[in-house]
Amino acid sequence: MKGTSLGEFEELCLLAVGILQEDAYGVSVKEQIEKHTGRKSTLSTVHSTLIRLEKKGFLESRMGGATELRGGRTKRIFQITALGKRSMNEARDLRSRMWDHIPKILWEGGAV
Amino acid sequence: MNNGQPPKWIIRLIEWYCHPDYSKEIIGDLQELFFKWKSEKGLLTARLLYVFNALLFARTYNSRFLQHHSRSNGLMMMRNYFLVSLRVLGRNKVTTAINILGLSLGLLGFTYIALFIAQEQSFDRHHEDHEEVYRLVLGPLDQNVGTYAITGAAMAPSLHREYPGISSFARFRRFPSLVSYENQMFYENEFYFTDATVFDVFTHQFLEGNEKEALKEPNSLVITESRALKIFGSNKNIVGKTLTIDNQLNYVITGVIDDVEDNSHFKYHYLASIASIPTHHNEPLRTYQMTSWYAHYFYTFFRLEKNVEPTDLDQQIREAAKHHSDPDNYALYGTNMGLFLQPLSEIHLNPLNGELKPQGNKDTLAILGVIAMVILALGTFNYTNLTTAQSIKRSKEVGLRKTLGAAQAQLIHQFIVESVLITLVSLGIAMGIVLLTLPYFNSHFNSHLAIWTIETLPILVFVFACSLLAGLIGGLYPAFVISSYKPTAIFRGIQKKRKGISFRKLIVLAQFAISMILISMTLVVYQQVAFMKNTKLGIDTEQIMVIPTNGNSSINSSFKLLKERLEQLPEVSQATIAELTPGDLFGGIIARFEGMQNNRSFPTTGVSFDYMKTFGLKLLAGRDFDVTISSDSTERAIINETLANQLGWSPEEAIGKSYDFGGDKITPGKVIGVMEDYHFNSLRSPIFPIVLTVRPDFFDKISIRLAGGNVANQVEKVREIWQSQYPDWPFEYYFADDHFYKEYEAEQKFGGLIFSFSVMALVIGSLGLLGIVLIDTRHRLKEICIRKTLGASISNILKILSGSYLKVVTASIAISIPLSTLFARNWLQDFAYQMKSYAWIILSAPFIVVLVALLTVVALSFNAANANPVEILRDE
Repeated sequence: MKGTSLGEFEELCLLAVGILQEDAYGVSVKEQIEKHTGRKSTLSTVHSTLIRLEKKGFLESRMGGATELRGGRTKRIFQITALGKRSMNEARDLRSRMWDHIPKILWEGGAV
Repeated sequence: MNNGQPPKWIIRLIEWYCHPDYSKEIIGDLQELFFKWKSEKGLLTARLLYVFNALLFARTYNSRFLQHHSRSNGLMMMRNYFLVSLRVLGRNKVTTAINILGLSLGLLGFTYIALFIAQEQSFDRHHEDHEEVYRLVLGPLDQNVGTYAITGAAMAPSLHREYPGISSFARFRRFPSLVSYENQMFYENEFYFTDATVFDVFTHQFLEGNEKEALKEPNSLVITESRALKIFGSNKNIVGKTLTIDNQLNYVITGVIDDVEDNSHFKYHYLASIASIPTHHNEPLRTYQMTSWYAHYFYTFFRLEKNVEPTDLDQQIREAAKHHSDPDNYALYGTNMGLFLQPLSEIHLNPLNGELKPQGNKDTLAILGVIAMVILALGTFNYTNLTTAQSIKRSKEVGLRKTLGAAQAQLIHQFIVESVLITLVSLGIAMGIVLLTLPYFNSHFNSHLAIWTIETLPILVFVFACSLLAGLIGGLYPAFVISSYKPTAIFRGIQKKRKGISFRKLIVLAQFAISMILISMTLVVYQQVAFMKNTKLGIDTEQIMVIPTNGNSSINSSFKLLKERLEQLPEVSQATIAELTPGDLFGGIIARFEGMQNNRSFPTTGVSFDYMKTFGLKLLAGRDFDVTISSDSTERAIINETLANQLGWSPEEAIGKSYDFGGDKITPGKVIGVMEDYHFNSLRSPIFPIVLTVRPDFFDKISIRLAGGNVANQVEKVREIWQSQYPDWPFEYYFADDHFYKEYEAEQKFGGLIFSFSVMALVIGSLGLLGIVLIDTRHRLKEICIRKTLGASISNILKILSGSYLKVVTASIAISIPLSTLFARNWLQDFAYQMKSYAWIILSAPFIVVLVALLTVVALSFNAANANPVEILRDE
């Protein structure tokens, strides 16, 4: 089915939400990604990716956590769904299965 | 500023753009980042970053307008209408193709006409503040309207002095001259003498030189960039170079200007300072032409002061000749000396006598404007017609939509979306065709239309708006008809009696009537042109070559020798020198014939001996000018029959009557001959009175009658003699008949345009008929097959199928014939000589249309009539 595959940036976002647990929202996810990958991303990219992941069913969201810094505006806090966890696992399994198939000699020989 | 907060406007922008589900969190997130940026990078950078990041949120997923699960049902439905439209169009490929083809053709014609009309109306508007520029023109005082474009050189300075409100003036004296530089020689027709203040009146870019100083000194010359390139092969470092004029004058180039725009009512390439005239070799030019109010050789333009009311000034100068010109002359000619101001931008579409080149025609534009509307309407009607005819197919869709709660207004929306979609596709196609065909159109009609320029932008917007409107109107009728169906009736299979049929037939009727009218107009125009070309003029134009001398006295005075040498050639039968050749514009010269109380102006032309022989003119009485009779070179006149009749004389009576050239009573002459009437100009105008008189100072053109046979060879012989006698003068010539036929260029152009549009109208009309018959026969296929099984023959069925349409076409003939007659009569009114009978044309146009209609209907009906009942009726 269309939409079950994970893009690279999508995967990073999912991982960041996983790390942040209860505090995963736009700004924090963006900062997590920057912290771990060193990659600059814009808020709008992160936000649109999160919304897309929610539409695919990998994330769910609720509103909450208004602070004064935000001018009293609520955050959209994201949480990984069961489907999201499964597809993250699948993505990792897929990689490790493929890793397993790389011939050892080639690897150790440093040809790649 | 809102001390350290993000800019408010961008917040409002986000709130406006984003869906309310998202806007809060987005603004909140951005605000958090904003404060982080502010502490790290300062307020300004933070603000910039905020705006930048906010703008990046302009995406589809969070927009309140583009949401799939948007609350705006209307937008969602629009999407659905669009999709359904595409599917419907794809399913009915033939009718869609017919619709698009018809509309594209309609829009093609419409766009071309719009561009053409806009171009015609743009003339002379490129000059700065062109509404302040006026041309001084002459007209009879009692008619109170300017009729003559050419004025006297003395007028402008006097008016400028006497009447406040004229800020500057520019007079133009056209004087075709031979321009030479080193070993190059060019006859230049666009050579003018003009005032130093010309650039205050007309706007020009100076590539080199100074616009204030350029034409102040005698013997200075400003040329256009294209002439600079032609002579020097470069447009740089031209100022200071010297050109030789007429092999005897040296003019220094003081400026290079950009070329005169194509949409100007006259063009110049050389502007020589008016201060050069006193030393010019042409005597009339440097004497009376420069000083008289009564010798008209100049075009005069004024730029008025900003605070002047032009109509007031126009009134004030009306009788200026009475107060400021020579009283004796005023007593003689004053009644024709009314002075008028004509706005510069109106010259092209309101041309007067004596224009420098053919101008536009308001009536033609009006006709074309109507045709544009009609053609677009035809294409739109097709759409309306075919969609309505197909309504039964769509009725189930409508029924279902209504059952599910669609309001009639929504259904109307849907059908309008469909028609606008079709129109836009057609517009795209039409514009593509315009782009591809524009160069051919321009070269064929000798026009300068362009499409992608700043000037045409409003026209393109106009065309776009008109096509949207056409789409709207075209979709409106079917929208109302189809959306009014009652769902219960549709699903029970009850169909209203085909109510649309009368409206549809009305449209077909209109389309064919219009096609017939346009085709008969085309035929009338072509026949009239052919008639005019084939009518014997009474003056020969064939086998006559013309070499212009442009008034060069050295050629004029030595012509006798050239004539002798030419006439010795077996290739040449006759040679003469004269002022005008057929098709040229006559000037009026004041004269008085015996028995007249007052002087009057008569069309007069200067000729030399053998003029009548060269042009094959016939005498009714008296004799031709004779070189051996010395008095023939003084005031002797040969007049035409029309003039003799006007003066109340028979040809024989006219001989020996007194004739006073100029009406000055100094050297009384007499009439020595009367000629048979001949057409000197287009048959549009009636034969006018003509006076021939021997005036060497008027000579301008050498006419040589060739013996017939190999023309190229004969021209070569003439060239040899010319070059041996006048090595310093280029050999340039044209043929008298070619020159004369230019009289009919406007009519031929008009005929070509009408022809293109009548073909378009016919094609659109036939396409419409084709579509209707196609749909109709499809609907009636079962009926046909049942008839066949019950024993109807193919011809029976053909009769049934095509009968109703042929009735419509017949009705359109009845409507078109009186209208065509009316239009034809109207158009032909302008011509003094009309073709004998155009009844057969008016009748043959419908014949062509009926033939096309018949072919369309019968071909399609035949298909249906041949259908195999077994296959069609199997599923019943």
